[in-house]
Amino acid sequence: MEALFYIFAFIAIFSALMVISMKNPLTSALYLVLCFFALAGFYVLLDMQFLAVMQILVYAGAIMVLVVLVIMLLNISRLNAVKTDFHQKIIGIVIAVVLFAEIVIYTVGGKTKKPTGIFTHAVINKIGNTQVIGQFLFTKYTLSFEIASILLFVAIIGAYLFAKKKL
Amino acid sequence: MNNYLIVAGIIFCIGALGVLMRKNLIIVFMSLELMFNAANLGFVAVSNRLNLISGDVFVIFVMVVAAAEAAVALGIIVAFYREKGTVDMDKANELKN
Amino acid sequence: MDFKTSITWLIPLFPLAGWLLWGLFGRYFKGFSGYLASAFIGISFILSVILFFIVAYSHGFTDTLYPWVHAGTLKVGVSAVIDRLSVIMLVMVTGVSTLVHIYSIGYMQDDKGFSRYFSFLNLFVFSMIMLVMSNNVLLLYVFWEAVGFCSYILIGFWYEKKSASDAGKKAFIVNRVGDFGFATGIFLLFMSTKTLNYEKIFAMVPTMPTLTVTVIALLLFAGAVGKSAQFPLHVWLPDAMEGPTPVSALIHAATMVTAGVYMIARFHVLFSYSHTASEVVLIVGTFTAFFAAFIALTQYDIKRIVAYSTVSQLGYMFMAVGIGSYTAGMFHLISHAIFKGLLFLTAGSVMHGLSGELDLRKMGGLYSKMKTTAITFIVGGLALSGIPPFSGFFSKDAILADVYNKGFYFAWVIGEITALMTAFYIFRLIFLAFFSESKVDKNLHVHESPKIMTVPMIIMAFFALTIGFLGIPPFNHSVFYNFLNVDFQNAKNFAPAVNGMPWYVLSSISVAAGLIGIYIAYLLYIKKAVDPEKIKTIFKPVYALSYNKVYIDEIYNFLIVKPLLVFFDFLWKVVDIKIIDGAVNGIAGAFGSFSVKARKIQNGMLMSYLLTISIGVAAVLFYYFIR
Repeated sequence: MEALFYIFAFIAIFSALMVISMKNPLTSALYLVLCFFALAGFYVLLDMQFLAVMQILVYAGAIMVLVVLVIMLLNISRLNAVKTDFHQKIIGIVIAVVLFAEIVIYTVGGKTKKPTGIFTHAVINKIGNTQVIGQFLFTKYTLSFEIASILLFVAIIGAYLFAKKKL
Repeated sequence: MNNYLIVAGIIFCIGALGVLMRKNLIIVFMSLELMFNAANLGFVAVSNRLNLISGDVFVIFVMVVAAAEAAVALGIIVAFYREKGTVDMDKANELKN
Repeated sequence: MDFKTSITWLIPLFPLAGWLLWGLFGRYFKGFSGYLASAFIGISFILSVILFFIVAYSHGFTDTLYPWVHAGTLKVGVSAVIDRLSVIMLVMVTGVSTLVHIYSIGYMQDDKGFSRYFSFLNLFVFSMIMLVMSNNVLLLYVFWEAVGFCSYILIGFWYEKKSASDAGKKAFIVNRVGDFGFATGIFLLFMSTKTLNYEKIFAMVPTMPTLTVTVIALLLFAGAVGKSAQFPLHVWLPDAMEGPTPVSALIHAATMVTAGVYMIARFHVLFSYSHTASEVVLIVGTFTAFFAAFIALTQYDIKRIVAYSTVSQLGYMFMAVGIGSYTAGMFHLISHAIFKGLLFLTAGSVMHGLSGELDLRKMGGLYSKMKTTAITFIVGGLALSGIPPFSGFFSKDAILADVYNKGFYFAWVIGEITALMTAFYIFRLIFLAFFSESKVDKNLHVHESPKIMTVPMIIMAFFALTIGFLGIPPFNHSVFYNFLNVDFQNAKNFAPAVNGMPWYVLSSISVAAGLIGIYIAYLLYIKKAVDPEKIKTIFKPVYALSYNKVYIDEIYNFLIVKPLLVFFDFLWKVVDIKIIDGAVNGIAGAFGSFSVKARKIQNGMLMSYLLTISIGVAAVLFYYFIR
């Protein structure tokens, strides 16, 4: 298990780095898909097979297909690569490092909480993780669920509006 | 558990770096997706550690928002490209006035 | 409401209604507003006469129309005191007003502000009636200011003329000085008596400390000095001649300017309990009488001569009330109102005939062309000079005799000298305007005024001739004295008669003074025994002093107006522009320049927004970290 974690971690970080450093957006998109797969692997390791499946279906399957579609539609890969300012790079790196330092300090230096819930590894495996999530989604989070559906509906209209020829 | 969070942090910072450094709107968008996913990983990891389900449910919602955001954002990018003939973020300078 | 109270309140109602009617609907009445306004005031006059007889054959009364201010223990009503003093004033005010209204129809004909003029005039009559009738200090003060306001709008009636509107402002501002004292006096009065009602105040006066009474009396007198144009606040009255002449006749000769005298007569209890205040009144009155007559000697503007004469005659009245001879003061007030109103109306008639000419040097020989005006003017002049049997003789003589008999010999001497000067300047005017050779512009068509103007003049001249007989027999036995003195019983007699010089001696001296004055004028301007120009050069400094009105305007200009202007200039240019505007603009400018810099944050670049967001996120995390 430890080994699997490190393999996934390596893949995720490497592909994430490739995403932001590739010149061609299409390459970046493919590395992003790889990164998503690695993340799905993390979810499996964390007993959330359902989420892993959703990750691949929604992200890698739906969103990334959309992105690749747009890249190909606009034929961006053949465009001249957009140059990046030097000082912008520096600022970006500084901020990213600061953020990272803060996250690490907060994670490592923060107090560790004791587990409070009842959903241990055994309980989840007994009920089945899909069913557990479903139970929560349709009982405690019904309202949020419905609002999410409205959000999706609004997004459909919004996307349609933006994509229209005449704004 | 901390390892997961640190990996999530690393991915998040890489995403932030991408947002700040790159000027291609599509890559910026993908970097944002990276940051989303880093956050998701954090949720799942903490949820697992504390024996809770709420974090996992929340990931579902994040995915919903990400999907909606992707649809709208890509719509904007297409419209932007149609308007300017490029996806260079430096051309996105009409927010003033 | 019984008969007499309804009459009482109908008297002010008619002018009030007139004011609203001509003021609001004047253009529908066109030329009729003049006739209707005269009729309204005429009705008020008839009602006043009826009220006069009611009071004369029964007794005075007070009546409250409605309660006005009810605050705690303070109760002020719109209420009238009708006694012999106020009915005499009412009859005088409404009577002179009626005649002036009728005269104005002719005088103001073809003026584009015809209805406006009558509206203001009615408002003035209303205010004056209320001022006379009011039985508490608050109401008195309100209408005291109201008549001042009417005076202001009527002086500046021809507001297109800068000099007219300036004169209006001057009158208003100078009056403010006096009214400040008046208001302070009222506050003090209320503080020390806790009431505003006349009767209650007068009942408390004998128990009050003398110092308080003196201070209050002096402060109230300051108001009277302003309103009645006494030295040193007389400067507005000559300038007030910028208004239409009937206004000068009504407001600045007959009624409003006498409000100060009336006020002191009304507050006689207060003044008689303060020896000091009364003496101040006497001194101011005596000095003003002499001083104004001295200025009038050399003026060439006929209206200004008559105006200074008004100031001088008001000085006589203050002399009278200053020595406690309230009836004598009131008698002179009434007779002066009539003959001075007459003089102004005739002066207006001269102006009318000469198309607005006021300069004596451009007149002369008018007698043959405007006989009615000339004769009525001479009647007025004789009355002013105190020649028997004209009214001025009786009233002025009553004052001078009282002054002598109460032992104020110096004031008496001044009064007699003033009488001489008065006779001289008014006959100088008469001789120069009506008798000496004509210097009128040949192209000018000199004409007599229409009947509507001459008839009021004739009526006034008749009364100027006859009203004086009320002063027979002389001194404290006259009809007028016996009638009015009833109201002055509460006055403390602080200056009893010391020696009884026979009345015929004193009268002879006065008449002699008047005749000498007339004779000098005759010598100078008709016989030309001595060339006036020669005298001018001999007494050059004195002449210049008189001709330039003792430089009072210049002194005020130098002492008060200039420093104030400098001070206000400082306030405007330094305090206002530099400090206040500077602070306001500075704050605005600071925000402005800051915003110009801050605007650069909003450069519209998506990139920089993202950068800012990231920095913010880092900062928030940092905050959580250090917390």
